[in-house]
Amino acid sequence: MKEIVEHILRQRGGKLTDLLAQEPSGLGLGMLPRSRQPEIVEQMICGFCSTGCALDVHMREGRAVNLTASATYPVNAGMACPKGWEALTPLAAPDRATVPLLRNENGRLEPCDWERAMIVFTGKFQEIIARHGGGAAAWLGTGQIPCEELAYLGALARFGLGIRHGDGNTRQCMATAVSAYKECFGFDAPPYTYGDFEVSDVLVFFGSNPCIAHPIMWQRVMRNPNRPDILVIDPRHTETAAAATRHYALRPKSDLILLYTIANLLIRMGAADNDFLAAHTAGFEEFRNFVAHYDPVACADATGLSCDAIEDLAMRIARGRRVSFWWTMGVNQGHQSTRTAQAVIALALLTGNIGRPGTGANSITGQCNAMGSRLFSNTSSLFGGRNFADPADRADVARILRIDPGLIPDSPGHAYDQILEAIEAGEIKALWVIATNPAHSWIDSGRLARLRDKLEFLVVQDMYATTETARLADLVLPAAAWGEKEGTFINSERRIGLIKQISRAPGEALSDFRIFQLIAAYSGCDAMFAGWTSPEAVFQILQKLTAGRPCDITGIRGYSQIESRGGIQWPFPEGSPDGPGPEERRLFSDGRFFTADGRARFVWESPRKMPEPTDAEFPFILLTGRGTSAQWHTNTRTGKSDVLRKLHPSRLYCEIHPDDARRLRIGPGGRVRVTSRRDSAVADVLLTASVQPGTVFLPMHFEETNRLTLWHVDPVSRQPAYKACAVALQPA
Amino acid sequence: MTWISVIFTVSKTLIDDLISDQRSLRPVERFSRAFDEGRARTVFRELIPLSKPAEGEQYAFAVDLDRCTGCKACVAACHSLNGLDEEETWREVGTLIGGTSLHPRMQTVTSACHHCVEPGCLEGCPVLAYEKDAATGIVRHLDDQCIGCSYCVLKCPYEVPKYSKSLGIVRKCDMCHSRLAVGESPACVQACPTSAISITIVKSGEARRNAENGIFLPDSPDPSITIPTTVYSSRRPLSDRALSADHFRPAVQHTHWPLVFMLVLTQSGVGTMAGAVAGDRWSGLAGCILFLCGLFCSALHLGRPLKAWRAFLGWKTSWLSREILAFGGVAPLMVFAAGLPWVVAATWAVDVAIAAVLAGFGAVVCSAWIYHDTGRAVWRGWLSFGRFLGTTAIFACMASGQPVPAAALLVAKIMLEGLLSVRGMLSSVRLDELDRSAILLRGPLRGWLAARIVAGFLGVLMVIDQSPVAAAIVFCGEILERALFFKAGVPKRMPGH
Repeated sequence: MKEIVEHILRQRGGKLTDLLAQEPSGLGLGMLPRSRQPEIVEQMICGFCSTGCALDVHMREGRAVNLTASATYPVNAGMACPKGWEALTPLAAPDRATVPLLRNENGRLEPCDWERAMIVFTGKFQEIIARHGGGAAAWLGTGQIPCEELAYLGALARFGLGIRHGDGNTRQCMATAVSAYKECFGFDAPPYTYGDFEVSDVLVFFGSNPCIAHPIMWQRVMRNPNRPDILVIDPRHTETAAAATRHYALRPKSDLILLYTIANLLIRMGAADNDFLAAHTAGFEEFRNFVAHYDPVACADATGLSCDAIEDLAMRIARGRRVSFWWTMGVNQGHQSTRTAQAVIALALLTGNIGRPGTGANSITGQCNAMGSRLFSNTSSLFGGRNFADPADRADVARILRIDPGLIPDSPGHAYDQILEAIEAGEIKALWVIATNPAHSWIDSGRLARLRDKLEFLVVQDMYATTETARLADLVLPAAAWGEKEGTFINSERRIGLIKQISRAPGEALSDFRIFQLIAAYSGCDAMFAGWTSPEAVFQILQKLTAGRPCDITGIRGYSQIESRGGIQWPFPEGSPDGPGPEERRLFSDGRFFTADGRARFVWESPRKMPEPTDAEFPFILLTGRGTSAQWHTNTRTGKSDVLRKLHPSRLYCEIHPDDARRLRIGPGGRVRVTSRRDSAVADVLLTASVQPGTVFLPMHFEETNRLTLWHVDPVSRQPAYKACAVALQPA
Repeated sequence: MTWISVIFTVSKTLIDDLISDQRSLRPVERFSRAFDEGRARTVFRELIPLSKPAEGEQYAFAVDLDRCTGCKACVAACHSLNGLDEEETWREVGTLIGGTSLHPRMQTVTSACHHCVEPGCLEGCPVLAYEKDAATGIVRHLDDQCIGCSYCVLKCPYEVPKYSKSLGIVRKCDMCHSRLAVGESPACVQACPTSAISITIVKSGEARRNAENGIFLPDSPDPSITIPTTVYSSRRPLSDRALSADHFRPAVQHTHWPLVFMLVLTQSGVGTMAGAVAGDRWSGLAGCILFLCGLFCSALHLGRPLKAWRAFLGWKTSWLSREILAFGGVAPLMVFAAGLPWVVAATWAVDVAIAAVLAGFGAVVCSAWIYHDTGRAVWRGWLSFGRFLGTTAIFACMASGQPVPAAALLVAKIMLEGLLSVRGMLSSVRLDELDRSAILLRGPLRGWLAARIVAGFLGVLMVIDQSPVAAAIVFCGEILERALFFKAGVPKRMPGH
């Protein structure tokens, strides 16, 4: 009786309770909600950053209903950051592009069918190229689509359509690492494997905030059992600086002087590995002479660090037996970034910290397939990391692709910034933008927006018709997204991984691969791509393009082997062992580099002043960077998830030092106007001593930020210097 | 047929082919294969205690702050692994900012339900939809018992229960009790890349001692209110002066319009009934109608009003339950008092009216106690009692033909409300809840506040003028006041971002 009364009065079960009820999945995934029990699970690589985590997508009745982080993949071991956990959500956004959109006479984008879109696309490009030559057309690609699609794009645009200039958004993040590695190692070859995070006894991070930018790499650092010395060199007290053993808060853009001083101190301390230097490097003597006059006192003056701190940093590096050096955008996005990256490489070379477990001069890449773009996008380098200027390289590619060598130009054409300047000068009249959002992400984005009117034809190919760039387009081509197509990504540690189709694309959206097939057919160059029938067929062509190269992957036996081994790191030449993965490999364990003489190079140059130093009118340095791990770049995808939106401030905010705020009478809950020579933006005030007095920080995910930044690039890598420009502050 | 049309015919088929190709999910089928248990996630079973809690002990979250770097994977993983609604999250990550110029400190803090020793949610629930599991100490919510009154959301100092509009109920973290029951770790524990979250066993007595000594987190609710059990640890203790990243940026709160009308209608109804004491039949009728409209609005507030008949269950601890019982008792009395003078001319009709007014006052006191009992500083003591009884008294004076006391009361009430908005104007070091509420009143709510003051003083003039629309104007003013009561009712909360 009591039970009946209790049952009537207190309802312990029922349909609402059942909504969240869990039961064992039976797929090795533990307890999962009954309503989302998977029938099968598909493992694929995440489509955000370059960590390259594997995600297990839960499939039920042919639909992707959920996902978990793969427990068995060597990269992430069951973990993912919030972007990965929410990777399916952006696919279902209501603003997906579902049909091609063409701008009509009234200036409005209106739906059209694919046939009309293709006739307009090929007609416009062919007409402009016929009128002005291939130099009047350009494309801007991406590091967000798989290798097979990047290769199709690079071949189609350059060899099929005859577009002279092409570059990718990887110019914005990785160009510096590419240039630095090429000169120092003879090939664009990040040498490390993630296992190095776990076995170093000293880890040095330059301009790198993996806690936020690459949380799953930070996971590997936290698994290091050696209680390692973690040294962070960064003008901001970032999350990573907070977790480090020592943080060296140097002045913005004084890093090159610090690096040369550290090199000098290490040499003076006797920390140089003379045997290694003699056997495997070139240029050390000259480098030693160059850095000899970099002393701690002058360095302290330039960097704002104390002499003690500078000597302490050198001492800690000297003491380490397995020292790894890591850098990210704080180095890559500077006005002398290539030389800075090369100075990091020099520290690893001179201490012999390379080629052994737990060592290396290691660039952490940005986008999920930036590494694939570096090898196969056919933009700044010819397929397979080759050189356009080298006739033998051109002949090689022509032979493998069975095309006329005359179709391959003898130079890569313009870099990103030069393409934009050529548009401004009226030389480039047609632009094709694929899976990137320059109207938000390019420095001085206001200037970029003004270029729109100089273009006769702007095509944007994207999964959303609502990005800042798509809204400017004459023609929008609706693209299938990650998860709606297949192909391969290459992650930061050179690991090739698979993406698969686990969801249907909305409307008539097509994978970029299929869009390129269509364009090839409509422009009449499809004969050139007769063998490019599927992503896996193209992967085989890419394998041939790597034969005998440092990135040789001719030993991979199809997608199925990539799947079964848990990804495969390059190189993997013909004859590589067929055993089961996972395995980890690093480069240069034999001390042989990819230069002609097998020796690594020291490369240096005297530091230059910041292009836009502060002055009385603009007395603050503006730093920009990633704000939270819940936002990806221009927030086009991550902004579609309710969960991710909860995890970051909804409005632009500005980190200001409390002393500066007090002086300027900017209150802690107030708003501040940040003004540069380009534009101004209003932001919520966040008072924190994590920025130095005289500097402020704006997260890059908000559209306003890049309206303020300075149009300036590193002269070697042509990568934009996002990190520092002069601004003024006033209460708003 | 020209060659161009041949190409286009061919291409037309190509487009169709590619679109149909794109729509098939063949690639998945190509790769499909079942997972086997051998691939099971070993992380499942880590970071949880090997034994069950003993007598006087319970499970608790333990957070190693030195390992939390703010990646927020715990929030997203909890959402996915528990199958929550699109916008629903049970875990949150905030930031505390402290330290000095030389040694700045930014500490991210992950938090979910603290499975308190004395849960505020449980205490406030009118239908006993919460229970504290005797064996594990997990505070569980019975989803099918919930009527969607949201009082637990107000009662919890940590804003843990989340109301779902589509379901009409609240839901909250249950520490993945069904995972723990089979020896698996909770979702957040499984998903933390740096193993910052684990499950531990705490003694209730120790949790109570810690709470009474104020050991919890800076810029967070006083732990002595509900005795939270989550254990935050760090080798580098956080200064008490550390502040939440959003300390100076309070958010405008949900307005709860049905409650706004319910409160003002019931209070003006009880007040107007006072006219019947003076023998005015029309006042009695109006008061009764207002009161009943108020009760109708209270039902609109509930996510599942049909289940509300169980609301008496929580009377032992819940002021909401008591209020519902009180209103349930007052309603027939009001109807009786209002109807009686129209049916018979009995002298004791006045006594019935007096009884109805007194009982009504009692119910209004219960209403005020509901908000007082949340512990929110902006609703404590006279800030609720004064408002609610003030509204009742103003209408009582008006209905009894006492314009001057009515106007005086209204003026005093408006002045005190206005004073709340100037609090903490000069402080930029640390704000209390009232200061934070004042920031809202001066900032995003200043239009509302201005409207309230204008409507209020217009009401004062009309009352003095004994205008026939005086009551309506005063009523509008009180509605605005009550909307501000909720909008500026800043909660206690965990550090935000």
